[in-house]
Amino acid sequence: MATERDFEDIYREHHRKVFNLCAYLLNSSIAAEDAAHEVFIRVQRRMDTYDPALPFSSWILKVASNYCIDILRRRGLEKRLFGVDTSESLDVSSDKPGPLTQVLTAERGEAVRRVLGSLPDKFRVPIVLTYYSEYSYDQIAAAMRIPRNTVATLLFRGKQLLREKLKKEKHHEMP
Amino acid sequence: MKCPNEFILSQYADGELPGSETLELAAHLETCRDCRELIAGLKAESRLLVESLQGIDACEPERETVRRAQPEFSGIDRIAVISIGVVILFRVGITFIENTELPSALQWLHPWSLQGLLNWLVNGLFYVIEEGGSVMTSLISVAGFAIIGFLILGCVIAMTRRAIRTKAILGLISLMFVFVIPGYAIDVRKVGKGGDVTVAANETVDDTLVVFADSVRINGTITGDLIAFARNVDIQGTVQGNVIGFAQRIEASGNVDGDIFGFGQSVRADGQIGKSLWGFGQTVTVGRGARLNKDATIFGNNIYINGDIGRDAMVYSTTLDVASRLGRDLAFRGVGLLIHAPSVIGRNLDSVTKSAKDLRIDSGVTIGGKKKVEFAKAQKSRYREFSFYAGQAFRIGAGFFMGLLLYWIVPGMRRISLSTGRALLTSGGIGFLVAVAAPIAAIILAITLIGIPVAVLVAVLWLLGLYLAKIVIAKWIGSAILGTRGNGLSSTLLPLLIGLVIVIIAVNLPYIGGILNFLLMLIGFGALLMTAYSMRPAGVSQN
Repeated sequence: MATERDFEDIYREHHRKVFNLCAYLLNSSIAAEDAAHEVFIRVQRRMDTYDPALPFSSWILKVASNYCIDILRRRGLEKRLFGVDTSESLDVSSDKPGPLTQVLTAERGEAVRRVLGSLPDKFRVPIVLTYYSEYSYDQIAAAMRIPRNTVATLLFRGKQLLREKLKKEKHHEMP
Repeated sequence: MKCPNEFILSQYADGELPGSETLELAAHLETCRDCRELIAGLKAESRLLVESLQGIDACEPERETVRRAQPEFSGIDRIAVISIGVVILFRVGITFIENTELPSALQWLHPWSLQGLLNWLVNGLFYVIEEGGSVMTSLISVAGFAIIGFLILGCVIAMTRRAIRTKAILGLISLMFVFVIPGYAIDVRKVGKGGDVTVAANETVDDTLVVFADSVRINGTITGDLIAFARNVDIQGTVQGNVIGFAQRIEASGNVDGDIFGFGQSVRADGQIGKSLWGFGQTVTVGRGARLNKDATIFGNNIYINGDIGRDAMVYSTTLDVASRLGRDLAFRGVGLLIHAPSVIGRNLDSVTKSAKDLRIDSGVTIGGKKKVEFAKAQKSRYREFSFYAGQAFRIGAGFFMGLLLYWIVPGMRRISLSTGRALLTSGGIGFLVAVAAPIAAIILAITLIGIPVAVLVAVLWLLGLYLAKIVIAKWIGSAILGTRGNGLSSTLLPLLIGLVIVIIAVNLPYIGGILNFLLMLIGFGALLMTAYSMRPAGVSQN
């Protein structure tokens, strides 16, 4: 059982990363602060379930993403939050913008974050889990409780949306 | 092999393509340059996304506000546009209602009837005066102060140049424009400073006359209402409608067939008045030659009633001097009342004066009905009474309980932060806007009858919000003083309690307590609203 002292260290070391993840997933810094707080309470309570074979930071981020996904799921309630709509066909046509590098340079990370915030939960969550938490498709599927194929689709659609929005934004800025 | 689609390539780039397909694709890539390039692009994109997402510190407050500000407030435009649109629709609808006759007993419900507006105003003032327990000496200056205060607040808010605030103010102004009394046949005369407007003795204005001038003199006839904003208003002729005057001095010695609403330092009625007199002023006089067919309702400092009043007189003032004949009742609340002989009060006298020696009724005075005379209890300082402290302690207790309930139900409310002047101003502005707009919306809804449940809901939420506002502010003050950053329930208790004690002391301070109370309420209300708004489920607005 971790002592009070240890826990303070854990908090100091991981709070920022946990908070950032929550902020991305929940798309609200206010909600993220509450969520981060709750995550640390859970971590403290479930310290005995931690498997020391894995890095501690992965475990704590897993707790955080599970908690945030639960929140999103509860918000969505009856909606099939993370499902793929049948109406949403997988559009791989060539008129879609190509990979982001073509529309974006590295210093425009700010724009990526902003546009990411405007994506619906179901597209934002897989992107955050892939590129912030660096989860595999299987891990995302487990966290979101959806089939692996759906993860691939959501991620692909999400990135397409991201590109479209960024491209549109760029056009607005530089006509 | 045909080139696989981007979906497949994307999975390959992520290293997530199933084993068998990977081998097949790898073979294809050997030969296909396009696909190789696309995969390189996708991989670069992944790196970029990793950098973008991991390479920031979301805790940085500056960045955070910039990043959050955009999505959180973009919805406000829509809300503003929709509410103004709804109001305009209502306005159009009400025009139809205007053409239908309401039963006279319900007339006061009519939002655009002046009588209705004044009923609200008068009822409000009665409440204020009774609650305040003191006689108002200069109502006008208080009202003026409040209006100027709001205008300054508005300007300051607008000048901070945040679009949202400007929009809020503009929205409010647009609402006000939408709500102006409809302009049927109106003759508006505007004269610059120092100018006079005179309706000559042989002149007849055949509709309502609205005048802005230094001095207004009516010697002729006006067939509609007279609405005058001037330093001096002098009516010697005839007004067949109502007279509404805002002036330093209002004198009506001619005939007015309708009501007189006089707001001024000195209001004097000396002629025939077809209906009632509503007087608000330092000195209000019903002159010897006056003959009111209905009632006189007067607020002021020194009031003289020397003319005849057909029905009741109701006076809230410091002193009242009566030498007249009243058809029915005389009611007085104030310091001193003097009734000269041979006055006649048709029915009852009901007076509350400061003490027995402040009441003098000459022996020749006739009172037709009951005579009820009361004296205000010597006003002990409330700060010397135990019940005051018990009451405040109860208030703190109740606030504490409600605060805990609030933070338990909505933990996000703990996060309210008003650390910058800007945040304070925004909260104050938004708080003011909603505090004003919500009751208006509720009244409009109530008028539609169908909307009554929603109106009741709006009113309840409004009251609840105003009550919680000070609790939220208290918690924020407490947290700021104690410097607690935690957000558990235990770290809420002490700041909330300390904050409540400070707030309750502040709002009970003599003289400035009322203003502090008001400001804290607005700021708290705004903060509450903004936090509630930012906590809305993100998915709802985006899907």
